[in-house]
This record gives sequence, C-alpha cells and structure tokens, in this order.
Amino acid sequence: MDIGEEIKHILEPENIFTFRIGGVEVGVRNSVIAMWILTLVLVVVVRLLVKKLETVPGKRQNLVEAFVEMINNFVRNNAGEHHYREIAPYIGTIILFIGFMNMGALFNLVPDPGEIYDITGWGFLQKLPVVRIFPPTKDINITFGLAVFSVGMVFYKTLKIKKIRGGLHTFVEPVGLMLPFKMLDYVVRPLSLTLRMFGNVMAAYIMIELIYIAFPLVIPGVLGLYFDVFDGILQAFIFTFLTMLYMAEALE
Amino acid sequence: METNQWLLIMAAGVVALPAIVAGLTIGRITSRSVDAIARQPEAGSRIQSVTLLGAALAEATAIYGLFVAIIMLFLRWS
Repeated sequence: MDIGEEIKHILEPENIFTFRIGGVEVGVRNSVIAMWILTLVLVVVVRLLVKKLETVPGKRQNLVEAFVEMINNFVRNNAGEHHYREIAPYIGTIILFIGFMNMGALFNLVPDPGEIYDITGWGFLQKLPVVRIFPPTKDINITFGLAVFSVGMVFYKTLKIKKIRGGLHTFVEPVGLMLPFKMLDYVVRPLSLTLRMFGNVMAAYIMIELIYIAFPLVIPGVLGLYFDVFDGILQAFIFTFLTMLYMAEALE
Repeated sequence: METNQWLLIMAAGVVALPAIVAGLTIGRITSRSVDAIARQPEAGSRIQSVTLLGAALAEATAIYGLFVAIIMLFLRWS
C-alpha cells in the first residue's frame, strides 16, 4: 500500500453527491456527511440524558447538572458576573459539539471491504461502499466555518448588549489609534483558530492512519488514547476558551 | 530533479525550526508555572488555566509551519 497515495487520499476530500440549486451546482463532501452522522448521535445521547427532570435529581440528572455547573462557573470566573448568562449556553454547546466531533475516529468500527477481500478473496466484497467515520474537523472548510461563526457570535453579542453605538465604540475604546489593530483582530483571529484546530486534528489523524498501516493490531488503539481522545478534547477546550476570552474582552 | 530536492529540504526546515522554538517556549512556560504554583498553592487552578492557554497558543505557531510544509509538498506551488 502506497503511503503517498494514502496521505493524498486523506488530504483531498471528495464529493459524495452533488445537487443543483438554481444555476449553481453544490457538492456535498464526505466530511459534511460525517458531521451529520455525529450530530445525530450526539442529539440522541443528549435526549436520553435529559429525559425526565425531577426536583430531587437521580444519577443521570446529577451528571448533567454537574456539567452545566462546571461550564457556568468557568464562564463566571473568566467573563465577569453580569453577562455570563448570555455567553454560557453558546460556550457549552461549542465545547460539547467540537469535543464530540474530534473524537469521531473512535467510532470507526466497520472495516474496509478491500482489506477483507485481500484476506478471503470473496467477490461480492469489491462492490460494497467504503464507510469510514473520521473527525470532520480534519477538513479545513468545516473548521473555518466554526471559527467564522464564533467570531461572528462575538460581534453579535457585542452589538446586542451594548446597542449599535456602543458596539462601534469598542473599536476606538482605549485610544483612537487602536482602530486598525482592532480591525485586524477580526481578520487574524478566525485564521488562527482555523489553522490551530485543523493542524492538530489532521496531524493526529494522519499519525494514527500511518501507525495502523504499520502495526494493525493493538498499538493504534493504545496510542489513539493520546492522539485522538486527549488531543481532540484539548483542542476543543482551547477553541472554547479563546472564544470566551474574546467575548469577555469585547463585553468589558 | 533539482527543484524537487530543494523542495524537500526546505519543507523539512520549515517544519523543524518552529518546532524547536515551540518546544523551548513550552518548556519555559511550564517551568515558570510550576514555580508559581509552588510559591502560592491556593491559586493553583487559575495558574493551571493560564498555563494551558499559553502552551496552546505557543504550539499553534508550530502547527502553522506544518501547514506550510503540507501545502509545499502536496499542492506543488514550487
């Protein structure tokens, strides 16, 4: 198996199906479909966790309440007392969503039909489609969308809380000379958020794939604990923490 | 080909140099944070937050180098 071909296949995502809207042809990539599948699993899991809420909490509700309490305290410590109710729901959503998506390589349970065909030689395996779940954030477009959404949310919250005149006043807040730097911030911050998450997730995924080519048996699972789980959760936490810092700085 | 060889050498350099600097920086960050926690253990949680944030920001520049090397090798902008 050619390692260069494998890496090229990972780095260049492909369209699964395309459809037309008006005169524009829109292609749907395999990372988008992986994101849909992972979102569906996350919605089902969360729905099961918040099924019946009672005043005296049981075991399941204790877990959910502990998580919400942790996010609230975290936002309150960093963003101040006044506005944490506006920020905390978005922060909790983002950290759950990105943390769950980055661990998507753990759900890769169905083996490739090509590999089984190499071992057994059954003919029908050549026609089966290849189903492979990978972390969707390894595609730079998805990461760019998330980063633009986060910075756009910062801007929207600033306008909503401080009312348009105050929101535009933050551009010249300490000294009037800060205007070009503040405008540059809105360009540089999405870029750095994008590249940080894309680079980390892509590098971890390529590493695990290469190890899987070399030793398929036990080692990818053990090393995957560091590369997939720890790295994914850390990067989701860093993304969320930076978004919260930008919001706290803009609302202050 | 001569262009191909230079591309490979430069890509290796583009990855290695930011990685060296990032490694040294993160080591220095961790050392200072351990000193600070030893001096005042009650502020441990807040110091840990700031340490993790600083380490991730310093590591991001090393990732930029990896990104440039990937573009150089696989998209052929030589």
